[in-house]
Amino acid sequence: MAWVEIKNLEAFYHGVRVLHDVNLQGEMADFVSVIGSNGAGKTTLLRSISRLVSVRGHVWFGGDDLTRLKPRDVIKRGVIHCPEGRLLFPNMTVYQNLMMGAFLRHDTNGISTDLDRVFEYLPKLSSRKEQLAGTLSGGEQQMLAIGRAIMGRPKLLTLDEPSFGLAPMVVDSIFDVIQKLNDEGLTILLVEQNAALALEFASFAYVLEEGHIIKEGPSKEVAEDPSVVKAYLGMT
Amino acid sequence: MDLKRGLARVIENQSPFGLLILVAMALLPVISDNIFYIEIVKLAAIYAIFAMSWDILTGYTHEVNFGVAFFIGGAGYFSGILNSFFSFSPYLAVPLAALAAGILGIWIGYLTLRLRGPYFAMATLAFASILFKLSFIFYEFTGGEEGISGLEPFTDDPMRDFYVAWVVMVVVYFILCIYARSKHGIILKAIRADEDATQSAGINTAYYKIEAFAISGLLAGIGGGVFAHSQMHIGPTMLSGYLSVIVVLLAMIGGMGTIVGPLVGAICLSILNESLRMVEEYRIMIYTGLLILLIYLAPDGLINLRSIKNSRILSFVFLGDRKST
Amino acid sequence: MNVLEVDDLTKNFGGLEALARIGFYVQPGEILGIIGPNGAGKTTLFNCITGFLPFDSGYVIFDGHELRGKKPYQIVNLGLTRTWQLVRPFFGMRVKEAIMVPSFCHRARSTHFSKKDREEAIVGILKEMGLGNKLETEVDNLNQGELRVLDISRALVTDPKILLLDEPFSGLSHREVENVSRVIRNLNDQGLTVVIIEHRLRELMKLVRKVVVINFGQKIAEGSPEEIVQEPRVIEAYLGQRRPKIGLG
Repeated sequence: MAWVEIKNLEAFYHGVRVLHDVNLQGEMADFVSVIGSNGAGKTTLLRSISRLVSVRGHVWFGGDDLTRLKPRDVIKRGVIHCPEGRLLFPNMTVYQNLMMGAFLRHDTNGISTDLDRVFEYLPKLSSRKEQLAGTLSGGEQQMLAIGRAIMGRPKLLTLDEPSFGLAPMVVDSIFDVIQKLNDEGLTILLVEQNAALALEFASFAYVLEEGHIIKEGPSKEVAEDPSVVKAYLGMT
Repeated sequence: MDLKRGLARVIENQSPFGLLILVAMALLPVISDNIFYIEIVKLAAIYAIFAMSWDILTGYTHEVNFGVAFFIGGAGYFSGILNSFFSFSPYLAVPLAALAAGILGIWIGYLTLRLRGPYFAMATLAFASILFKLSFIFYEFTGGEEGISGLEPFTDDPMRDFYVAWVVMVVVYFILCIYARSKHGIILKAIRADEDATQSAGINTAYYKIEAFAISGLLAGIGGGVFAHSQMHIGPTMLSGYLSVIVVLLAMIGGMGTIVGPLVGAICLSILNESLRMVEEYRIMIYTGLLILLIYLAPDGLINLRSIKNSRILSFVFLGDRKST
Repeated sequence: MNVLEVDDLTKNFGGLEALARIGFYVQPGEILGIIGPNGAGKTTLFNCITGFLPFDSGYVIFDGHELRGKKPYQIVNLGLTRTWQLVRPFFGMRVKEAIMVPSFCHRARSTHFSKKDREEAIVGILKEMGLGNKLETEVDNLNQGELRVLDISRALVTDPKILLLDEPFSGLSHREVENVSRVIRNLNDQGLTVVIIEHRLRELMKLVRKVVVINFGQKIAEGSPEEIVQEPRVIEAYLGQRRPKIGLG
């Protein structure tokens, strides 16, 4: 079995089936991406892993079956979710938001080390420690969301559309950080609407269309496949 | 055309329990001629008018009106002044006062149009508070703290006075039932559920909201005028926040958005309150405790309880609902 | 004459330009799709056209009437009706009550003079949309697909000349999408002009004959579905900008 393994996953939203028989694998330190157009089910996939939606099928991580766990137990196993739209605590400061990421941890030394690490990777956050999260720019908010996720000491980081609503230059700097984290050995599962961007960074990609995986393979291969265009635009 | 339709629908959807209460109240003087009891039930009938008129606005739009005392006391004072300073007969003064209340309802409805939730509630509270203060400031007209005494009653027989109140209550009840089942009530329910979607249906929501406010004010005003003349006295308590809150409680515990609920709630609880005077030292404690308990057990009101809605028999008896399936 | 003309429409939110000089025409009887990536401004466009959001400059002319400054209910009574991205049920009512609400508007009352006519028309619409046997059901007990269909039924009761549908397929199963698609096509065949915002392009592209593509508040392409999917700017808008390291498509 792979380190991350999703098998026969079916997910339901308000009684409607939005994921059909999804299968996905990844090994430690992989950078895997799931692309697809809006509404394809990408967010539901990540929410399934984090146990926020009801599913049938299985999600395995590091040999453990996550499928029947409570969300906080998934976090305790090291699967950290950076949600769509950042979902920061707007009336808390940058520092407080980061500390919320470490909420379930008790190792004060480890937390303090990780906090230093976050500020090292994301220097912009360091200068805004006491600023309210709601007053940050879009790019800074995304950085804070990633920082908060790092504070959970993830073994698997799932990112939901980190590029959404951000200017290209800002996207570049965010993805540089994500790449750095992956280089250090953090496994990344990236969900993105921006296919070109995702395929540039991830080594392996899955294409989701209306809840079905219609193509998978090394990024280069997927990039050259015309079915990707069809997945987004409905026809070729 | 709407009236006939509404009338037909009202008749076929009458709540048997509500009708029972109305009839039972009418029979009271026949059974007992104890003035004490008659007065209690008369007061209950007047509170029912207050509660029902409150319900047509808040029960159907879910914007909570905390200033119903504005219309009750306002119309009460207006009618009282017309009567004691200008010798208008109560039969003329009360309708005029109610009309004035209705017009003020249009005005306040327009001013509070864009307010929602707590802001709406606070604004209505503010209007009532302002009028309360004004009654002290213009004490030459309003009698200040003591209010105006010696108002003319409707008739010179307390028994007949009771029936005046009863008739007004019944008329208000049926007017509101017709209104609530008519397109006006349906539109208010739609506005309550989703105002934007109601606009998307081509409905001028502002108009219907103001109209509901006006009707609510007018009918509460009738209640206030009837109250003033049946007590032969009008005082600042009828403008107080306390009165507004009591009306809200009676209507809510009875069951918002049904007209029948506030009727039953007001009558039963008012009678209970007065009956508790026998144990005066504990009355407030018991009464308030009971109100709290009832709100806890039935947050949407007694008539709106799930167990009633789900039971075919009970929902017919209390709400007049005939389910076809 | 065009039934709907949008010209130079601009809407700013503080510093953000949500709509930048958008313009397109809709001809009577047309069935037009408006597409674009998430956040492109499509719903903002609908909100500006239907009076729910004031816009800063430009024109919206429907059937010869200038819509700017008109209240939403007034626009509905002129013959332009919309549905919403998220379903907008009238909770706390039965289906038959909910569907009566739009029948109280001026436009519906002048189309069907007698109450009986109006009721027959309403029941007819519900039957055609598949809700004929749900008249007594509480709205709270309908599922997502039925709520979506009820929304569209309510829109039809206002007797529109043009119907603006915001993501009508959202939340529906395949079969339900086919059903709704079929109904829309029938309505269009009978002369109703339809404009649809959608993300589920597989179904949409089969339904519409013309497509307008919006990205970052601007119109970036217009044409038939076949033309649109080959337009490089459209592919780029959806799939992302070509990065120097990889090619795409």
